[in-house]
Amino acid sequence: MSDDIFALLSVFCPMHVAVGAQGQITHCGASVEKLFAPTRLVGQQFDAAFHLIRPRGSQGLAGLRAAQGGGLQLELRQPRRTRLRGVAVAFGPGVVVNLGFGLSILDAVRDYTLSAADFARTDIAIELLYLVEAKSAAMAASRRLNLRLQGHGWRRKRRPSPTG
Amino acid sequence: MHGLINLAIQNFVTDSYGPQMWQAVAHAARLPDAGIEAMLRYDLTLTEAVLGAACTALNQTPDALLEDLGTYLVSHPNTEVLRRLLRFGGVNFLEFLHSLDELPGRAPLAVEDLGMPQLELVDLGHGEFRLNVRSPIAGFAPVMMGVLRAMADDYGALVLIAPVGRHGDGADIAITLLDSSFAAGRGFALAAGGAGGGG
Repeated sequence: MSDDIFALLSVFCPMHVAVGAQGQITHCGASVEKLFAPTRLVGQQFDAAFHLIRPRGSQGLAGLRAAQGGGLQLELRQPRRTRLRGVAVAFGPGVVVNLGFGLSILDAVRDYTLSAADFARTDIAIELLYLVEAKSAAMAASRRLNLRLQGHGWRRKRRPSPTG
Repeated sequence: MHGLINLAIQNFVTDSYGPQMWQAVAHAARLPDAGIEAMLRYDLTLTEAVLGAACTALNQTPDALLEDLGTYLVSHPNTEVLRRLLRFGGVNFLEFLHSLDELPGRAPLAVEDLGMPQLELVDLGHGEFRLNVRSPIAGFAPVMMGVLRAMADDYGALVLIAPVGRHGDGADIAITLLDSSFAAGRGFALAAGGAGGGG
Protein backbone atom coordinates (compact mmCIF):
# COMPACT_ATOMS: atom_id res chain seq x y z
CA MET A 1 0.00 0.00 0.00
CA SER A 2 2.59 2.57 1.03
CA ASP A 3 4.81 1.45 -1.88
CA ASP A 4 1.95 2.36 -4.20
CA ILE A 5 1.58 5.74 -2.56
CA PHE A 6 5.28 6.51 -2.86
CA ALA A 7 5.25 5.50 -6.51
CA LEU A 8 2.35 7.90 -6.97
CA LEU A 9 4.02 10.67 -4.97
CA SER A 10 7.23 10.30 -6.98
CA VAL A 11 5.31 11.31 -10.11
CA PHE A 12 2.84 13.80 -8.61
CA CYS A 13 5.16 15.44 -6.08
CA PRO A 14 8.86 15.18 -7.00
CA MET A 15 9.60 17.41 -3.98
CA HIS A 16 7.99 15.18 -1.33
CA VAL A 17 9.77 13.84 1.75
CA ALA A 18 8.37 10.96 3.81
CA VAL A 19 9.44 10.87 7.46
CA GLY A 20 9.26 7.69 9.57
CA ALA A 21 8.31 7.18 13.22
CA GLN A 22 11.85 8.00 14.43
CA GLY A 23 12.04 11.27 12.48
CA GLN A 24 14.26 9.77 9.78
CA ILE A 25 13.63 10.32 6.07
CA THR A 26 12.37 7.06 4.56
CA HIS A 27 11.53 8.16 1.03
CA CYS A 28 11.78 11.29 -1.10
CA GLY A 29 11.15 12.61 -4.59
CA ALA A 30 13.95 12.87 -7.15
CA SER A 31 13.93 16.68 -7.28
CA VAL A 32 14.35 17.28 -3.55
CA GLU A 33 17.15 14.70 -3.57
CA LYS A 34 18.87 16.82 -6.23
CA LEU A 35 19.12 19.76 -3.81
CA PHE A 36 21.38 17.69 -1.55
CA ALA A 37 23.35 15.79 -4.19
CA PRO A 38 25.67 14.00 -3.89
CA THR A 39 24.53 13.42 -0.28
CA ARG A 40 21.68 10.92 -0.03
CA LEU A 41 18.62 12.27 1.72
CA VAL A 42 17.02 8.94 2.66
CA GLY A 43 18.31 7.79 6.05
CA GLN A 44 19.04 11.30 7.35
CA GLN A 45 17.01 12.79 10.18
CA PHE A 46 14.55 15.33 8.79
CA ASP A 47 15.82 17.92 11.26
CA ALA A 48 19.40 17.36 10.11
CA ALA A 49 18.49 18.19 6.51
CA PHE A 50 15.83 20.89 6.99
CA HIS A 51 15.46 23.77 9.40
CA LEU A 52 11.81 24.46 10.17
CA ILE A 53 11.45 28.27 10.33
CA ARG A 54 7.67 28.46 10.67
CA PRO A 55 5.73 27.55 12.67
CA ARG A 56 8.32 29.10 14.95
CA GLY A 57 9.79 26.82 17.57
CA SER A 58 8.47 23.63 15.96
CA GLN A 59 10.85 20.75 15.69
CA GLY A 60 11.04 17.16 14.67
CA LEU A 61 8.31 14.74 13.81
CA ALA A 62 6.00 16.03 16.56
CA GLY A 63 6.32 19.59 15.23
CA LEU A 64 5.55 18.51 11.67
CA ARG A 65 2.56 16.45 12.76
CA ALA A 66 1.24 19.30 14.89
CA ALA A 67 1.48 21.66 11.89
CA GLN A 68 -0.52 19.27 9.67
CA GLY A 69 -2.27 21.06 6.83
CA GLY A 70 -0.83 24.46 7.67
CA GLY A 71 1.88 26.31 5.79
CA LEU A 72 5.50 25.50 6.59
CA GLN A 73 8.56 27.60 5.91
CA LEU A 74 11.84 25.74 5.80
CA GLU A 75 15.45 26.24 4.94
CA LEU A 76 17.96 23.66 3.74
CA ARG A 77 20.73 22.88 6.20
CA GLN A 78 23.45 23.13 3.58
CA PRO A 79 25.56 26.12 2.51
CA ARG A 80 23.04 27.61 0.06
CA ARG A 81 20.33 27.63 2.72
CA THR A 82 17.64 27.61 0.02
CA ARG A 83 14.22 28.61 1.38
CA LEU A 84 11.32 26.26 0.75
CA ARG A 85 7.66 26.26 1.56
CA GLY A 86 5.83 23.09 2.48
CA VAL A 87 2.83 21.33 3.86
CA ALA A 88 2.79 18.24 6.07
CA VAL A 89 0.23 15.46 6.43
CA ALA A 90 0.44 12.72 9.06
CA PHE A 91 0.97 9.34 7.44
CA GLY A 92 0.91 6.24 9.63
CA PRO A 93 3.28 6.87 12.54
CA GLY A 94 5.20 9.41 10.46
CA VAL A 95 4.47 12.29 8.16
CA VAL A 96 4.73 13.19 4.47
CA VAL A 97 5.92 16.71 3.66
CA ASN A 98 5.47 18.21 0.21
CA LEU A 99 7.91 21.00 -0.58
CA GLY A 100 8.03 23.80 -3.12
CA PHE A 101 10.28 26.73 -3.96
CA GLY A 102 8.10 29.80 -3.87
CA LEU A 103 10.15 32.81 -4.97
CA SER A 104 13.45 30.99 -4.36
CA ILE A 105 12.76 29.17 -7.65
CA LEU A 106 14.67 31.88 -9.57
CA ASP A 107 17.87 31.13 -7.65
CA ALA A 108 17.17 27.40 -7.41
CA VAL A 109 17.04 26.76 -11.16
CA ARG A 110 20.50 28.30 -11.40
CA ASP A 111 22.04 26.87 -8.21
CA TYR A 112 20.88 23.29 -8.88
CA THR A 113 20.66 23.41 -12.71
CA LEU A 114 17.06 22.28 -12.57
CA SER A 115 15.36 21.38 -15.83
CA ALA A 116 11.70 21.13 -16.84
CA ALA A 117 11.90 17.41 -16.02
CA ASP A 118 12.53 18.27 -12.35
CA PHE A 119 9.10 19.81 -11.90
CA ALA A 120 5.76 18.05 -11.65
CA ARG A 121 3.97 17.87 -15.00
CA THR A 122 1.19 20.09 -13.67
CA ASP A 123 3.55 22.62 -12.08
CA ILE A 124 3.43 26.08 -13.65
CA ALA A 125 7.05 26.74 -12.63
CA ILE A 126 8.18 26.71 -16.26
CA GLU A 127 5.50 29.25 -17.21
CA LEU A 128 6.65 31.44 -14.32
CA LEU A 129 10.27 31.28 -15.46
CA TYR A 130 9.13 31.99 -19.01
CA LEU A 131 7.24 35.06 -17.78
CA VAL A 132 10.20 36.36 -15.81
CA GLU A 133 12.40 36.03 -18.87
CA ALA A 134 9.82 37.61 -21.17
CA LYS A 135 9.37 40.47 -18.70
CA SER A 136 13.14 41.07 -18.61
CA ALA A 137 13.26 41.19 -22.41
CA ALA A 138 10.32 43.62 -22.54
CA MET A 139 11.90 45.83 -19.87
CA ALA A 140 15.16 45.88 -21.82
CA ALA A 141 13.28 46.93 -24.99
CA SER A 142 11.44 49.61 -23.04
CA ARG A 143 14.72 50.87 -21.56
CA ARG A 144 16.29 51.13 -25.01
CA LEU A 145 13.30 53.16 -26.22
CA ASN A 146 13.54 55.50 -23.25
CA LEU A 147 17.25 56.01 -23.81
CA ARG A 148 16.54 56.91 -27.42
CA LEU A 149 13.79 59.29 -26.35
CA GLN A 150 16.37 60.97 -24.13
CA GLY A 151 18.60 61.28 -27.17
CA HIS A 152 21.32 58.84 -26.11
CA GLY A 153 20.82 56.00 -28.48
CA TRP A 154 20.54 57.44 -31.95
CA ARG A 155 23.87 56.08 -33.04
CA ARG A 156 23.21 52.50 -31.86
CA LYS A 157 24.39 50.19 -34.58
CA ARG A 158 21.07 48.59 -35.43
CA ARG A 159 19.19 51.83 -35.79
CA PRO A 160 18.70 52.61 -39.49
CA SER A 161 19.78 56.06 -40.49
CA PRO A 162 16.97 58.25 -41.82
CA THR A 163 15.94 57.35 -45.33
CA GLY A 164 15.14 59.55 -48.32
CA MET B 1 1.67 44.06 -37.93
CA HIS B 2 3.47 44.31 -34.60
CA GLY B 3 6.62 46.42 -34.50
CA LEU B 4 8.57 43.48 -33.10
CA ILE B 5 7.88 41.47 -36.25
CA ASN B 6 8.92 44.36 -38.47
CA LEU B 7 11.98 44.91 -36.31
CA ALA B 8 12.81 41.20 -36.62
CA ILE B 9 12.88 41.61 -40.41
CA GLN B 10 15.09 44.70 -40.05
CA ASN B 11 17.50 42.91 -37.70
CA PHE B 12 17.56 39.82 -39.93
CA VAL B 13 18.56 41.85 -42.99
CA THR B 14 21.06 43.95 -41.01
CA ASP B 15 22.72 41.02 -39.18
CA SER B 16 22.79 38.74 -42.22
CA TYR B 17 23.59 41.18 -45.05
CA GLY B 18 24.90 44.33 -43.36
CA PRO B 19 23.49 47.77 -42.49
CA GLN B 20 23.95 49.08 -46.04
CA MET B 21 21.67 46.39 -47.40
CA TRP B 22 19.07 47.30 -44.80
CA GLN B 23 19.32 50.97 -45.72
CA ALA B 24 18.71 50.06 -49.35
CA VAL B 25 15.67 47.94 -48.39
CA ALA B 26 14.28 50.63 -46.07
CA HIS B 27 14.72 53.23 -48.80
CA ALA B 28 13.04 51.06 -51.45
CA ALA B 29 10.14 50.29 -49.06
CA ARG B 30 9.78 54.01 -48.22
CA LEU B 31 10.00 53.39 -44.48
CA PRO B 32 9.37 56.37 -42.18
CA ASP B 33 12.55 58.28 -41.35
CA ALA B 34 12.49 57.32 -37.68
CA GLY B 35 12.84 53.61 -38.54
CA ILE B 36 10.87 50.82 -36.91
CA GLU B 37 9.90 51.00 -33.27
CA ALA B 38 9.55 47.65 -31.46
CA MET B 39 6.52 48.46 -29.35
CA LEU B 40 4.33 50.13 -31.98
CA ARG B 41 1.94 48.61 -34.48
CA TYR B 42 2.31 49.14 -38.20
CA ASP B 43 0.05 48.68 -41.16
CA LEU B 44 0.41 45.29 -42.85
CA THR B 45 1.25 47.05 -46.13
CA LEU B 46 4.46 48.36 -44.53
CA THR B 47 5.56 44.80 -43.71
CA GLU B 48 4.69 43.65 -47.22
CA ALA B 49 6.62 46.55 -48.74
CA VAL B 50 9.71 45.73 -46.65
CA LEU B 51 9.56 42.03 -47.53
CA GLY B 52 9.02 42.83 -51.21
CA ALA B 53 11.97 45.22 -51.22
CA ALA B 54 14.17 42.68 -49.41
CA CYS B 55 13.27 39.91 -51.89
CA THR B 56 14.18 42.18 -54.79
CA ALA B 57 17.40 43.42 -53.22
CA LEU B 58 18.54 39.92 -52.24
CA ASN B 59 17.16 38.23 -55.36
CA GLN B 60 15.24 35.67 -53.30
CA THR B 61 11.72 34.24 -53.38
CA PRO B 62 9.47 35.30 -50.48
CA ASP B 63 9.33 31.71 -49.15
CA ALA B 64 13.12 31.33 -49.13
CA LEU B 65 13.60 34.71 -47.47
CA LEU B 66 10.97 34.02 -44.81
CA GLU B 67 12.42 30.60 -44.04
CA ASP B 68 15.86 32.20 -43.60
CA LEU B 69 14.20 34.72 -41.30
CA GLY B 70 12.77 31.86 -39.20
CA THR B 71 16.19 30.22 -38.95
CA TYR B 72 17.77 33.55 -38.03
CA LEU B 73 15.22 34.09 -35.24
CA VAL B 74 16.39 30.94 -33.46
CA SER B 75 20.04 30.63 -34.36
CA HIS B 76 21.55 34.13 -34.35
CA PRO B 77 23.26 35.31 -31.12
CA ASN B 78 21.25 38.57 -31.26
CA THR B 79 18.00 36.62 -30.93
CA GLU B 80 19.08 34.44 -27.99
CA VAL B 81 16.07 35.63 -25.97
CA LEU B 82 13.64 34.16 -28.48
CA ARG B 83 15.53 30.86 -28.68
CA ARG B 84 15.40 30.60 -24.90
CA LEU B 85 11.68 31.33 -24.76
CA LEU B 86 11.09 28.59 -27.34
CA ARG B 87 13.31 26.13 -25.45
CA PHE B 88 11.01 26.51 -22.46
CA GLY B 89 8.59 24.43 -24.54
CA GLY B 90 10.19 21.08 -23.75
CA VAL B 91 13.26 19.08 -22.79
CA ASN B 92 13.59 17.48 -26.24
CA PHE B 93 12.42 18.18 -29.78
CA LEU B 94 9.40 15.87 -29.45
CA GLU B 95 8.17 17.76 -26.38
CA PHE B 96 8.90 21.02 -28.16
CA LEU B 97 6.71 19.90 -31.08
CA HIS B 98 3.88 19.10 -28.70
CA SER B 99 4.30 22.49 -27.01
CA LEU B 100 3.63 24.29 -30.31
CA ASP B 101 -0.14 24.04 -29.74
CA GLU B 102 0.41 26.20 -26.65
CA LEU B 103 2.69 28.71 -28.35
CA PRO B 104 -0.07 31.08 -29.52
CA GLY B 105 -1.23 31.12 -25.87
CA ARG B 106 2.26 31.56 -24.49
CA ALA B 107 3.40 34.32 -26.81
CA PRO B 108 0.87 36.88 -25.46
CA LEU B 109 2.35 36.32 -21.97
CA ALA B 110 5.46 37.96 -23.41
CA VAL B 111 3.89 40.39 -25.89
CA GLU B 112 0.16 40.87 -25.56
CA ASP B 113 -0.74 41.78 -29.13
CA LEU B 114 1.88 39.96 -31.18
CA GLY B 115 -0.71 38.42 -33.54
CA MET B 116 0.73 34.91 -33.67
CA PRO B 117 -0.81 32.37 -36.05
CA GLN B 118 -2.84 29.50 -34.62
CA LEU B 119 -0.75 26.32 -34.55
CA GLU B 120 -2.07 22.77 -34.39
CA LEU B 121 0.14 19.71 -34.32
CA VAL B 122 -1.28 16.41 -35.54
CA ASP B 123 0.67 13.28 -34.56
CA LEU B 124 0.35 10.77 -37.41
CA GLY B 125 2.42 8.13 -35.61
CA HIS B 126 5.82 6.62 -36.51
CA GLY B 127 7.51 9.99 -36.05
CA GLU B 128 5.32 11.70 -38.67
CA PHE B 129 3.64 14.99 -37.80
CA ARG B 130 1.64 17.69 -39.52
CA LEU B 131 1.78 21.24 -38.25
CA ASN B 132 -1.15 23.37 -39.35
CA VAL B 133 -0.30 27.08 -39.36
CA ARG B 134 -3.48 29.14 -39.53
CA SER B 135 -3.24 32.87 -40.16
CA PRO B 136 -4.66 35.39 -42.61
CA ILE B 137 -1.02 36.25 -43.28
CA ALA B 138 0.46 33.52 -45.48
CA GLY B 139 4.08 34.38 -44.61
CA PHE B 140 3.97 32.73 -41.19
CA ALA B 141 4.19 29.17 -42.55
CA PRO B 142 7.62 29.52 -44.21
CA VAL B 143 8.91 31.38 -41.13
CA MET B 144 7.74 28.43 -39.00
CA MET B 145 9.62 26.05 -41.32
CA GLY B 146 12.82 27.97 -40.65
CA VAL B 147 12.09 28.07 -36.92
CA LEU B 148 11.45 24.30 -36.87
CA ARG B 149 14.68 23.51 -38.74
CA ALA B 150 16.72 25.71 -36.43
CA MET B 151 15.06 24.34 -33.31
CA ALA B 152 15.74 20.77 -34.49
CA ASP B 153 19.42 21.73 -34.77
CA ASP B 154 19.23 23.39 -31.38
CA TYR B 155 17.93 20.19 -29.78
CA GLY B 156 20.27 18.02 -31.83
CA ALA B 157 17.36 16.21 -33.49
CA LEU B 158 17.42 14.83 -37.04
CA VAL B 159 14.21 15.83 -38.81
CA LEU B 160 12.83 16.31 -42.31
CA ILE B 161 10.64 19.36 -42.78
CA ALA B 162 8.66 20.06 -45.95
CA PRO B 163 5.72 22.24 -46.95
CA VAL B 164 2.56 20.29 -47.74
CA GLY B 165 0.46 23.08 -49.20
CA ARG B 166 -1.90 25.92 -48.49
CA HIS B 167 -5.65 25.78 -48.09
CA GLY B 168 -7.81 28.73 -47.14
CA ASP B 169 -5.99 30.71 -44.47
CA GLY B 170 -3.98 27.70 -43.31
CA ALA B 171 -0.84 25.89 -44.44
CA ASP B 172 0.44 22.45 -43.49
CA ILE B 173 4.04 21.56 -42.75
CA ALA B 174 5.15 17.91 -42.76
CA ILE B 175 7.63 17.01 -40.03
CA THR B 176 9.39 13.64 -39.88
CA LEU B 177 11.33 13.01 -36.70
CA LEU B 178 14.09 10.52 -37.60
CA ASP B 179 16.18 10.73 -34.44
CA SER B 180 15.48 12.95 -31.44
CA SER B 181 19.07 12.74 -30.15
CA PHE B 182 21.11 12.66 -33.35
CA ALA B 183 23.64 15.28 -32.22
CA ALA B 184 24.51 16.98 -28.95
CA GLY B 185 22.52 20.15 -29.67
CA ARG B 186 23.10 23.45 -27.91
CA GLY B 187 23.04 23.84 -24.15
CA PHE B 188 20.05 25.23 -22.36
CA ALA B 189 19.58 26.01 -18.67
CA LEU B 190 16.36 27.37 -17.21
CA ALA B 191 18.34 30.09 -15.45
CA ALA B 192 19.30 32.91 -17.81
CA GLY B 193 23.05 33.20 -18.25
CA GLY B 194 23.54 29.80 -16.62
CA ALA B 195 25.77 27.04 -17.93
CA GLY B 196 24.29 24.61 -20.40
CA GLY B 197 22.53 21.72 -18.79
CA GLY B 198 19.40 19.68 -19.18
CA GLY B 199 16.44 21.25 -20.91
